[in-house]
Amino acid sequence: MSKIIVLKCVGHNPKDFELDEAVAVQFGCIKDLFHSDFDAESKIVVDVPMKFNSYIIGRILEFCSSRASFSSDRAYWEQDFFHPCREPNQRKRKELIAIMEASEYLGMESLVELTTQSLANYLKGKNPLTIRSLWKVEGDLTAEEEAKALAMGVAKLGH
Amino acid sequence: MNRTSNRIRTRSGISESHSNMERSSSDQVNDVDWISNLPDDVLLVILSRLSTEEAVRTSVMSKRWEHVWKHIPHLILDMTRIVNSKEPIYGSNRVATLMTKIIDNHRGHLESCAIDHYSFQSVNGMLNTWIQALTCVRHTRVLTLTHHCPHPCVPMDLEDFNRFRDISPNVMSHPSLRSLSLGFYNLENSLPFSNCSNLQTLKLSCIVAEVGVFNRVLAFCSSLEVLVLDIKFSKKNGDPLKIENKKLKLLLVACCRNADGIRVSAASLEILAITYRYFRRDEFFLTAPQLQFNRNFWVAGEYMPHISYNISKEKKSIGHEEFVNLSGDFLIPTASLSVRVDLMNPTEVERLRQVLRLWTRKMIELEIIFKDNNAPREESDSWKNNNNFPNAEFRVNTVWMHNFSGSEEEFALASLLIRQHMVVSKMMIKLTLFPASKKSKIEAAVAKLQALQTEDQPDITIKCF
Repeated sequence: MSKIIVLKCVGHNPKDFELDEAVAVQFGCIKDLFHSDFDAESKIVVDVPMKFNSYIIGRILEFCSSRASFSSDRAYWEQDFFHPCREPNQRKRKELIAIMEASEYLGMESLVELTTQSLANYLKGKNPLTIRSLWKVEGDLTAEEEAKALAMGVAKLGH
Repeated sequence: MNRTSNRIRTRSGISESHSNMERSSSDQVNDVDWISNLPDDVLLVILSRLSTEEAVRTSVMSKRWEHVWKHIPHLILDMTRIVNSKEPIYGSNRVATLMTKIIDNHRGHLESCAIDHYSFQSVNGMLNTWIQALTCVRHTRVLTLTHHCPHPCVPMDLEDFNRFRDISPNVMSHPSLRSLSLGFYNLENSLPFSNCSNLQTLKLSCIVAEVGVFNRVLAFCSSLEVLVLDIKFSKKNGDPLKIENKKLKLLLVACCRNADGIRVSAASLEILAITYRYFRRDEFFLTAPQLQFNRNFWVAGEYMPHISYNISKEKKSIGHEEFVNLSGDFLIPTASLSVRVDLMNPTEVERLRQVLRLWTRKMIELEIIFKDNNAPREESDSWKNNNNFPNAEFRVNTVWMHNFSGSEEEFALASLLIRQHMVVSKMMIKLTLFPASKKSKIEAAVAKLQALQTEDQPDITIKCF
């Protein structure tokens, strides 16, 4: 009888997720529990902080399951979510950041890697004004500060 | 990123509240600056994945972003990417000034910096200014300098264009600088290296100089542990290249044109990789006590590219790390390999695996000398059950095994290579000098290996010698 780990999500839409070993070992903060001296029949409950809601955890587990099963759907999932050429809408951006934070909390290096690379891809090749408008960054530099920052970069040269 | 969950903070009110993705009102999602709310170390990881120019540009976005890029631990300042090739002089001076500003404005720890520049920056002293700022002010640990000729088809020896010139002796001897790589320069003298006992790693790619200059440079760098040479001598004068660095662990010679011989005397040398084909037997002298192997790499007077590796069990091996990272550049897969390994030591087994994986094409010869080991068997020996050791693609023409004692581990490795069809032609096993009683046990092990051959491996020979 294998151990079961339960991720307990609280908040607006509370949900418990049961993880099998193949999925749970992908989380750095949980995998050690499999090697500890718990009774094999036991169920271990891990409380997830409220800010990581059940939707985000669900998305992460989707990724883990497809990874654990080496499914060909994985490429599609990653393509859909992490494709660098497709400009995400604001909702998707928020989701991406939430997944990155949650996967870092759970110790999932590979997903942290994917999400940070994905965020970098969305910034690549864009001038700062475009990034500002896409990501709703408020430009609060004074004219003098902005001139100084512009003088540092190569924004004027052939971009 | 090694942040514990306790340090995750978000200043956004929305995440802390009870809403979830399916229910957020579009107004709340659309107006929030999610990305600026991420902590500095996360933003730094993201910016580190952009080019340096793009990362620096983000400083214009807002106060939040103004100073984040200044803590990136790695800078790549590549003029060739930015300058308009039709106007190299005008463009390059302007870009050079920008690069200086980037270096001067950087804050925090600068682990590495790579600069690609044109000849003008050597001539007008900018190169020296940059090196000084990077080593003495920013305390960079790893520095890579590559020279690019603005005009095509200029030969490498043409002095004026390629000189590593006017570099002050002290700028490269700052104690924090540990690794230096130079590409496409003509070294007119060894002065810049006068006090470089700080350097652990030196890589010279497409460097031209007189043999005396090279010899003095190597002598100045008394603490070298890693040396990579892809060099040419500007004239032959009968003197050999002398490499006598006591702490040297890895020596890779990819090219050594116009050399009048090479003498290597390195007591600590663990990895010797010579992929340059044109040495003659009478001009190559090696004293490296840790690298005693049996195979002869001189075939009919010509040298066969070869790598010798005495795998160490030390937890940290700079030679191993550098070797594994270098391999793509220096034709390592064209060489044959000799290794000394203790299969009872998991560190050594893992290093063996990483090295064998570097051969992306069929290895000609693999010589394995099993170290004598009396230590107790360690727990983690999962490699024996791994059907993909070192990896699915590995192929070798001939395997020579020396000091084969028929132990569980040695038998496991030999049988893995055969069962996975990695050995294409021959496996030759030299038995260790055991007493007669043990010899028969070992011969039985060899017989078992021979029995492992399947019908579709008719050309493999497995025998003792």
